[in-house]
Parts: sequence; structure tokens; C-alpha cells
Amino acid sequence: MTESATLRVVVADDERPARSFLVAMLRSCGDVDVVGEAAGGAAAVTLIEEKRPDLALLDLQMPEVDGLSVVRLIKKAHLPLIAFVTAYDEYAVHAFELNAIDYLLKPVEPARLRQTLQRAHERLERADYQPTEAARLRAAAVRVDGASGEYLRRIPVRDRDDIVIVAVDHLISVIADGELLHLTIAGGAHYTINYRLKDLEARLDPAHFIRLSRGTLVNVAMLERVSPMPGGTYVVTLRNKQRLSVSRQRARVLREYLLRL
Amino acid sequence: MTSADATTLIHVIGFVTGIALYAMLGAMTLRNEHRGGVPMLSRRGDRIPLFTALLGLLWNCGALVIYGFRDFGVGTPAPLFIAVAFSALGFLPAVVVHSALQAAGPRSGARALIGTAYSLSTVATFLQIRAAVVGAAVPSRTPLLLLTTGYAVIIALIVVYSPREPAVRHALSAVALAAFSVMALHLSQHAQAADSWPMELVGHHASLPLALVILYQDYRFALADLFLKRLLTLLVLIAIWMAQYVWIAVPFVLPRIEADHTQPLGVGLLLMLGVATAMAYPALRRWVGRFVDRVVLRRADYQRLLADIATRIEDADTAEAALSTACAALGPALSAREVSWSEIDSGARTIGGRAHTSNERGHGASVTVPTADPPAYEIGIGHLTGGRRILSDDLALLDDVALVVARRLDTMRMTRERYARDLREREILQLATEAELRALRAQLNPHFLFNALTTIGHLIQEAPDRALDTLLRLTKLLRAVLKRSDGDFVTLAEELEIVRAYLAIESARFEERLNVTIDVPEEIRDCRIPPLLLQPLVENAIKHGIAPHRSGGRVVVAAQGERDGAETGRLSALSLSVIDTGMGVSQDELERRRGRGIGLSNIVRRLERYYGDAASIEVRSAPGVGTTVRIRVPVGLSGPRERRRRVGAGAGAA
Repeated sequence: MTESATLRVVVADDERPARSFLVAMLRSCGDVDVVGEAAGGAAAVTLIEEKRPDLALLDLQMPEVDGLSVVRLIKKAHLPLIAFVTAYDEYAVHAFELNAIDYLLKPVEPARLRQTLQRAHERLERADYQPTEAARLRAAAVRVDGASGEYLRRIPVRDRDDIVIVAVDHLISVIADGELLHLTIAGGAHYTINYRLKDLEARLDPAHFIRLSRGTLVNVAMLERVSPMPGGTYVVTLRNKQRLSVSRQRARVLREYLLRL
Repeated sequence: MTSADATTLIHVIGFVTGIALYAMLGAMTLRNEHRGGVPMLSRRGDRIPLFTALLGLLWNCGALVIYGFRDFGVGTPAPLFIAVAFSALGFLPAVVVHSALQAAGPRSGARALIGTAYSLSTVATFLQIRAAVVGAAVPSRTPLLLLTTGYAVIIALIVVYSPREPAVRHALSAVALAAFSVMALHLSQHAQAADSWPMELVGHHASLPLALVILYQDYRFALADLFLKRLLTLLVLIAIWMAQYVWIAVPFVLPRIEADHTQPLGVGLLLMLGVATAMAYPALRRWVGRFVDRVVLRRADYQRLLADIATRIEDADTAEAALSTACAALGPALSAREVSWSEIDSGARTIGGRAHTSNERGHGASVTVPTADPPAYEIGIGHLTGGRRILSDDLALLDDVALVVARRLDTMRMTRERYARDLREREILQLATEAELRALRAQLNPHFLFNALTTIGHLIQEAPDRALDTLLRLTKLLRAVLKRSDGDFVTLAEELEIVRAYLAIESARFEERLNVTIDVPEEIRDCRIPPLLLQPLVENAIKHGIAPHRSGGRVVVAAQGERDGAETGRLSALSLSVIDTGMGVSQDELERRRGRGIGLSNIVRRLERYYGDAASIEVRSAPGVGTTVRIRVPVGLSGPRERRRRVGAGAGAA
């Protein structure tokens, strides 16, 4: 066997019993080295970037930073193979089945776990796994997030090595730049996340967030002034004095929705 | 047939009719004194019909004797007897005046006139009796003359005095008095000589129409219509008898009997006539009644009206509609200006209270709709137009209509109650089923169940004792849920056991992140509450308050008894709280969730069903602070439990 015979694994679950159960089972599988355990999503990101494991077993339901956010927050180059663990989540399971992303159901069966480990071994032997894996993960994440039915209340973002939890109420504006989104937060902080504006908009309460143009989304509560411009458009001034122009198409929506008494 | 024969016949029939008439009047007055517990003749002035009956009886009896003696040549009765009879006759106009003027209202001028009339009659009586005592000719001409002239003056005064009274009234009183005066005048002038029989009829039997006039004049006498019908029937019957006597018996039958006493044909014919007349009586009565209703009183056909109302209220589906329909039909039939209904205080109504006139002149009436259960209603009849008054048949109609409406209302209420009960039972059943499903889903919530199993899996390796313990709790929880599916009320202690089992499993899973406090005093643990009332709240607290929190939080389950007034008072209500120190949400977020969440809305609806307004639920939440759900339910209600049993039985049978 080569050195890849020993799989370096990280386990993240906020529930210690579940985590211990999984770790104990992993240890009983011979060719596995559990290099770390994380009791939450943020810790998992840090741990993964620090330990650079081959495989991360991530619980889907974790407070504040869930399994999908962990994947999104990890720097692309550090992304290991991922297997999600869930007690029961119809939507997630469907999404993963469709995208052939590995998932385990609690309580985890040893045979099923060994299958996951086996698959990880095989993938590691192929060099091209990473880009396709990342794309699959993103697509799955969007599906799962969209299916949950609840509006997003917090967005975990990277601030260098830290994870910052941004409450959506404090979000002032979101400006798209390709696949990156620049978030402006009340208090003057700026963060960038890797997400599509369309997907983020779908997860935010439409009563609180409004699109000003193809690439901008603002918090209605942060609007301060709306100035009409020639041609029937507007320029919007936000609480932080940020000025954003409104596209002709969105100006109509704005008129009907916002500027009506 | 000689003139004397006819006169004798007229006298006998006339006076006997008079006796019957006035006796009837007296009897009806006395009998109806207590009609349906509503005294119609309670006031002193209401004695007038009774007084009239007495005077009329006295006169007719006396006259029968006097003229009977004279015509059959038996002799002359005692002068004093004659004087008393004629005095009774002399008092009748005073009663007429009294009745007419009292109806016009208590005014000093009216009182003076009434006084004058009675004085006049008293003086005439005195003169009459004096004539008898001193042995002068009886009846004496002087008092009769006095009466005639005196009452002529009084008539004139009444006509002048009350020009604003409805024309009908003084026309009637004038007619009555005039008829009487003519009679008196006639008596005073032709006392000795026998006149032709029509003159005798007019002269001596004016007291017959007078009786009617008095009745019609007296607005308090609600039986006028009934009396009129009976009287007319009687008169028609007498007319038939007389016609048979004059045109059949006298010319054809009597000569045969006189010619041959052994011939049975004549007697048989007479008997046949009698039997035929008797057999025709019911038809006659019906015909007269219809005549009085249609022609004299211009009434609608009450039988048809009643049937019509009964049919029409069948279509009504609310009490309001039924009552309005009945009122709308009664209005034109009674020619009332206004017919209305109102709900009455059920405590104030007299059970089975019959229709009664609402004021002394019979201008309006009211009747209670005798429904079996409250609310009770009253139908009120306003003033009648065209001088009509509420008479006994009208009251009888009102009674019948009220009864018909009451039956309909009772039927309606019963139908509605049965429907509401069915609906309620079905809803409770449905809610119970929903709660059970929800409970099953909650306890068998895949998340919960698989997480619990994972926890047990971990504990088997790390702490086999605790693993077994948790396994047994899970078993208990599942068993409790399955057992509770009959939906019966449980004790607070039983519910708390489920909550504890649930919390124990969740504690094993969340470990130090979940802190639990259960604070329930011992003395309220036997209170009964709907099943699975607390458990869903606790589950919500963990799901929304603890699980999303990295550092967890505390769940407090608390219960308190509320007592009436003092510390030692009876336990009246339970206050149950589930508090978490978790995330909390803003008010509008709370509203949004409430709309979606099955758990809380199910609890709200179940509380409404079981307790109505007596229970309440309050949810308070603040972001970052946590959520408190407080339920207040009354205790000591066995009702809901009984109802549940029945529902359970019904479901079992279905």
C-alpha cells in the first residue's frame, strides 16, 4: 500500500455523542487517521484549513455555520473530499443523490462508512477530482438551501482566517462581481462571499431585500433617499451614504412597491 | 192569527232572548275575569259589562213576568215588582252614558255627565217606586217622561261635548240612547193599548240591540266578536223558528191537529221541523261566524292565514326570518299599523303567557312566543287602523300564530344545535387525529428518532448503563404516544413524564448545551389537561431555541395553580409555561412562523375547542432573549372529558 492507504479524516458535528460515535467507528476501520474533531461549522473550517485532511465528514445541521456553509467558506485550494452526515433530511438526501455527493445517515452503519472510505480512496487516486467536486457541492448546496423553505437569518462569511456571522438585518447592500458577492454591513465592514446573487436573493426575505439592478441587492430598511434621474430612473442613497443607481427595469418595480404611500 | 197572539209570541220570545243574551254576557264576563292569568276586568270601570248584564237580566225577567201575566190574563203582578223592573230599565241608559264617556277618558265634564245620568235614573226609580207604594198607576208616566227628556238632553250634550272623538263612537252611543228613548216614549204613551207586533218589537225589545251597543261601546270588552257571533246565531235561530211557526205551523199544521187530535202526521211534521232546525244549527253557527268575520269585522280568514304563516315560516332558516315573516303576515290581516317582534328577557316571561291586549282600550296586543328554551320572543301588535280593536278571535289567532312560530323556532334550534354538536365532535375528532399524527411525527420525528438512536449508539460504547436508560426512555415515550392516541385527558403528571422522557433523550444528545428546569408544585399534578399539550411546546423550544445555538441554553417547564381569591381558595386555573433562553425571534417573524407551524396552531385550536374562551395562550419572544409560551387553562372541568369519551366511542363505532 502507498501512503494514501491511510486516509486523513476530520469529523464535524455539534453533538458530541454523534461525533464520538462516528469517531469511534472510524477508528475501528483500520486505514483511517482521525486528525481532528470540530464541534461546530466555524471550527471545522479552521480545522480543515489547518490539517488539510483527505476527507471531511460534516454534519449538515450545525448551529450558525452548517455543513454546506463549511464547504462554501473553505478556500477552494484546501477543499478536501466531503461526505455529509445527516439524521434525516429528505431535501438534502435528494440533492446529494442527484449530484452523487456522498452522504451518510445517522446512526451511521459501519458497512456504509467503509463504503464511503473506499470511495474516497478511489477518488484520491484520480487527480482531477477537485474542480468537479466543488461544482457539484455548490449546486447541491443551492438545492438544499432553497428547499429548506426558511429565509436566511445569518450569513457566515470569511474574514481572513476567522468566520464572521453576519445577521441579515445588518446587511446594507450586496453587489455582484461575477461569482463573488461584496457584502456591505452596517458599521462599515465589507465581506466577499462566493455565491450567486440569484441564489442569495432567493434565500432572503423579499419583504426586506430588493434588487436595484442586475448586480445589486439592498436592504429596504437601509434606504435613506431616492432621487429621480432623467429617463425615469433613480439613484438611491443608503444609510451609509453609499449611492447606487437603479436600472430602468427595476425603477418601475421600485415605483410600484416602495414609493407608494 | 190575531194581533194579540203575535204580540204575545213576540214578547215571550223577545224577553226570553233578552234573558239568554244578558245571562250569556254576564257569564262570559265572569268567566273571562281570570283568562290566562291576565285580568281583563281588573279595574272598577270594567264592571260595566257585568252591571249591564244584571240590569238587562232584571228588566227582561221582570218584563217577561209582567207581559206574560197581562197577555195570558193571569192578572197583574205586584206594583212594586213592576216598579223595580222598569227602574232596572231606567238605569240602562245611565250605564250606556257611563261606558261611552269613560272610553273618552277621565275628564271632569264627562264625570259630571255620568253623574247626571245616574242621578236622572235614580230620580226616575224613586218616582216609580213611590208610585207603586202610593198605589198610583205603575209604570208611572212621569219618570218615563223624565227619562226620555233627560236623556235627549244628555245625548245633545255628549254630541256637543266630544266633537273630537271618533264619529263612530258618539254615533253609536246616540243610536243606543235614541233607541232607548223611543222605547221609553212609546211605553209612556201606549202603555194601555196593544200595538201591532212590529211596533211592540221595536218598543219593548230595544234592550237587545242595546246590549250589543254597550258591548261595542265598551272598548275593554275584548269578547265582543265572540258575543256578536253567538247573539246573531241565536237571533237567526229564533227567526227561523218564528218563520216556521208563522208560515208553516199556523196555516198548515195546527188546523190539522185541531181537526183531528189522533192524526200523527201533524205532530210528526212539527217534530221534523224541530229536528231539521237543530241539525242545521252547526252550519248556521259557522255561517254566522263567517258573516261576522268577513262582513261586520272585515277580517281575513284566520284559518287560512294561520296555515299560510305555518307554510311560510317553514322556509325561514333563522329565528329572525321566521318572526319577521309571521309579523309581515299578521300586519295586513289585523290591519295593524305596526307588527314587530323583540327578544325578551327569558327570566321575565311568564311560561305559557297567552296573548293579551297591551292597553285598556284594546288598541294593541302582545303575545309571547312560547319557545321551549330561551331566547324567548314577543310579538307586539301596534294600533289597528280603521277603528278596529283587538278582539278575542284576534287574540286567539295571536296565540295560534305564536305557537306555530315557537314550534318552528324550537325545531330550528334543535336542528342547529344538533348540527353544531356534530360539527364540534367531528372537529375535535379531526383535531385529535391531527394532534396524534403530529405527536407521532414529533416523537417519531425522523430527526429526533435517528438522533436519539445515534446517541444511544454512542452511549452503548461509552456508557452502556446510560445507553440502556436512554433506550428505555425512548421506549416509554413511544409507548406513551401510542397509548395517548385515544385522545383522553391526562393528568399533568402524566404529561410531565412524557416531557421528561423527551427532555432526557434530548439532554443526552445536546449534553451540557441543554439545561432543563421543571418547576411544578406537587398539589397540581393531578389536574387534567388535554394530552400532548406541553410536549410540542418543549419540542419547539429545543428546535428553535437550543439547537441553532452553539452554546445551547435553558428550557424551563413551569406550572402554577391559580386560586379563587384567597390563598386557600378553590383551584380555578392552571398556568403552564415553556420558556427557552435561545435565539428568540422578532414579533413579525413570530407571526410568520405561527401561520406555518402546525404545532402551535394545533394547540391554539385544541384549546379553543376544549375550553372556548376560558383558555388562553400567549407567546412572547425577543431576538437574543428567548421565547416564552404561556398557556392558561381552567381546571375542574369534567365536561370536556365527557365529551371526549363520547367522541372516542363514536369513532370506535364508525
